[in-house]
Amino acid sequence: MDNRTHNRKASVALLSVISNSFLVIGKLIIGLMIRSVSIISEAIHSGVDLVASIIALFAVRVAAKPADEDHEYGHAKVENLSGTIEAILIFLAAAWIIWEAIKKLRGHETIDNPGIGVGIMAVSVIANIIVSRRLFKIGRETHSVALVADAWHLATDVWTSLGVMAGLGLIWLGRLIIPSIDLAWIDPVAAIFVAVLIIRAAYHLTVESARDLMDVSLPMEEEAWIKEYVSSFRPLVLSFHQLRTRKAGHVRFVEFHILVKADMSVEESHHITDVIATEIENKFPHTNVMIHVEPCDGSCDPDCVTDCLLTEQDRSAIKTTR
Amino acid sequence: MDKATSTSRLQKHSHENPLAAQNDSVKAPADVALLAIVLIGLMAAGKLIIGIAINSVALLSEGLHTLLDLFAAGVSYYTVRVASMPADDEHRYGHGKIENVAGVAQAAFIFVPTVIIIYRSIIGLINLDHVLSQGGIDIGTYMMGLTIIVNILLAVRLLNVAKKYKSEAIRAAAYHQLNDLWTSIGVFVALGIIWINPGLKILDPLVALAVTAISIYMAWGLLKVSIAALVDRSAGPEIDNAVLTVLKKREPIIRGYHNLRTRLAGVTVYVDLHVEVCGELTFKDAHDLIEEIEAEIAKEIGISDVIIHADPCYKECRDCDLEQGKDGKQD
Repeated sequence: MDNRTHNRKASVALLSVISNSFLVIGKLIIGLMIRSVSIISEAIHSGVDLVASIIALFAVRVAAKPADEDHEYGHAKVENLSGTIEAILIFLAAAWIIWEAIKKLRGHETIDNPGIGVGIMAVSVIANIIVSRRLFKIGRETHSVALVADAWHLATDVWTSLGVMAGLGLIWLGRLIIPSIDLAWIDPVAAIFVAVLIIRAAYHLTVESARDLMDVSLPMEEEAWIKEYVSSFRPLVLSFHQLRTRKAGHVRFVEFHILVKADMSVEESHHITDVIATEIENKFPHTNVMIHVEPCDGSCDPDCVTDCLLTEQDRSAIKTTR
Repeated sequence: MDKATSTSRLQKHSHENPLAAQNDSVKAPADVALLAIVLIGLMAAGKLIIGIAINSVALLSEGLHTLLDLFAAGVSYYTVRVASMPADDEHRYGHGKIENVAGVAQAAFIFVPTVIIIYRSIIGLINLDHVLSQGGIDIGTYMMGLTIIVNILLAVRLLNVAKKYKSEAIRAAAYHQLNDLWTSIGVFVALGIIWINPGLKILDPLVALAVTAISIYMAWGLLKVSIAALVDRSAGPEIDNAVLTVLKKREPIIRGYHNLRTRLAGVTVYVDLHVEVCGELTFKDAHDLIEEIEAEIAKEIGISDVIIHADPCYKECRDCDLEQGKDGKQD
């Protein structure tokens, strides 16, 4: 990865850390001032966001390090780990919101000044929209799992804040219009409703981030391109098999076996693998290709026949010449 | 495609039957995981019911801790079954990594009961009146003694199976049981002493705090191992040395090697490297040699998956030194 890409990633991750720090402090001060459980739990939620964005910043920095003796495949998987932890932290935040809301429903606390609450929540919504859009943009451009997960994290935050804002706004309006009815229960009920939505989003994000930790294959269309490209080397390449692909952060790993004519020299066969590997690496940036060459002896074991580029006649011709 | 053919074509050359071993290794961990779930469930229920009956905070927090163990054991039961699934189109490297994901999840769940125990202990230290206000301390002590015995038996069984089948998830579960044992002994001893001398109620929260420090330390060790595999950390110098030993046997036809990379997924060691072979060799001979080396490396390091790319070398043999390959001439 070049320096410029890394700097873009690191600086947007830092932006997220700074914005979350301000939100935590702001929400905590105002939440304590007006004694709103929703806003205090929002501050704690932003605190979890802060931890998450620090993890993302750390992951972006580590992932940029080149391969070393301890990590021979590079450090890009740190981004996947960071993304997964981030997703799990969203669950934690949702559970916390529900816990606080239930305590509040049972406790019947009153809110001093819902107007200020609505104000700080609006600031939070705007800050989170701006930062998460920026994270999404850079994260998708640089294929950074850590940044996209952080972006999702802040995006779910926008929904939490909007839910809390709507609740507080209703209470505020209620007091202005019909002062005799106590609408304070709307605050925790809104919080629970939003928490349920967040749990749903967190589940999807966890599954999405954890996929690459499990060494999931590249998307079908990318694998299809590789298969087609290798096939275009027929008749130099007689067959290929055991195509295996996986991803670590933005880095793709591709490996397969190709079969060539048994009378080819080592130099020739090696040259073919060089050409194929370079072309795949050109097509998909940050790809690491590993090719194992085998002589085709016509033995045709099952997993070889699956992707065989030869016709039935070609195959029997090879078998008879042996 | 079954796991034996997909993960290691080379095992075919070693004239063994990897499939039989594979099936065997799948069943035993799954069985022992189910046993763990049932036993832990019974222990959790016992601790919680008696904890409520005699109003013992220590027993209640022990019960809650065990309840979380039950969850962790459920996770490991599920992952052992997933880990044994063969490679498919979506997971071409197999499902071994789920064991490492489970390792991280279990470590995370150890932290939750840990926090609960600390909280409970502090509450107990502040106000001793809340501790054991209903009497019945003898029942609580018997209960703890019983669960300690069950826990020891279960942990030993899990460790044996984990060692035999090299299962990270089962090993994690066994360590979790041992973690449980420390808290159980702490509570057992504290309850026993309080039974003899009710004036020493304060021992109960103090013992709990000491035991918690140990579990935090143990949880950290487990977390490190699992994360190392998830971020493709190198499988360690032993594996590198095993590869080098095999290559050295074939000097000077093998001229050197580079780009040696190793990583772990569950129990499987993945190895790939470039080997420089004498350029004068015919391709067929070179390939046979490479297959032979792959099989021998695989045999040397156990459950593994080795892939070698051959590079031709035209240097005079006296210029070549296998040791140089270690510095990793990057192609």
